[in-house]
Amino acid sequence: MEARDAALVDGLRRRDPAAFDALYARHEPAIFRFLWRLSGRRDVAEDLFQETWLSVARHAERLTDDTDIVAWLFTIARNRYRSYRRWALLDLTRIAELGREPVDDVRSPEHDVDARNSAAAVSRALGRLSATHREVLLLAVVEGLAPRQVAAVLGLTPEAVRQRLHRARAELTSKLEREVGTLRRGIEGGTR
Amino acid sequence: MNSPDDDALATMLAELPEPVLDPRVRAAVHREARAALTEDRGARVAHVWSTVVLPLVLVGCAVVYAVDAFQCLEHTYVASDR
Repeated sequence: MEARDAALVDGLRRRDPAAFDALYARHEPAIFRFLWRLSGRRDVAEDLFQETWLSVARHAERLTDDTDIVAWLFTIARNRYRSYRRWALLDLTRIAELGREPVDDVRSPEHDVDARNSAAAVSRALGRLSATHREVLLLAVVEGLAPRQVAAVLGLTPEAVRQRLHRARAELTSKLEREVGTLRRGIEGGTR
Repeated sequence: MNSPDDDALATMLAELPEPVLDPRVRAAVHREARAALTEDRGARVAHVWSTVVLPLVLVGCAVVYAVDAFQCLEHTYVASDR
């Protein structure tokens, strides 16, 4: 653990507001990005973001000297999302929303000619992944967490993380190819 | 080691548009969480006071009172015996 992280952990355990400010400034963008891409919805991401930081504030004294602060934060954020999904499954009005893949932009084939390089196509393909594959890709590839940190967040062994990551990459590639095919058919249909 | 395909995927994922949190939401969450942190600290101080410090003070007072009362009785009766 970095020295500055150790100082943060120490400050948080003492409930020092300055330590909390530093933690928030450093990790707030990554936590929001993770929640937004995991849920695919801004309103849900904002709610979960708030719950995550409240939980961080309320449980700060549980930190120990060997706590990996980054893994701890992402674990809380992931647990908030899992909890949201569980409750949403009990809420009949939200079932339709869960069934819908998180797509945050409108498909426009004219602007996705080279869909493989298009962020919109990647975003849609990512949204169509299973939640377990999406989260491992977001943690390991987008957020750049070390394998041991990803393992800590997901409660897996590093070897299991490696395998899951491999399957997630394969699923994303497959979805991306399907996405490209759909877009090409859409463009060809539109130009006829 | 990552394959070239893996690297290409990583590059594509890294190029996804950055979601931007509304500054007002960011500030509101920060304020609320910070308040929860300091409120909890106040609650913890109150908890320590009511469960540890206050009972110790009361027990200490009782001990001082008992010792003093015993000494007072001792002075009274032992002195009268002489």
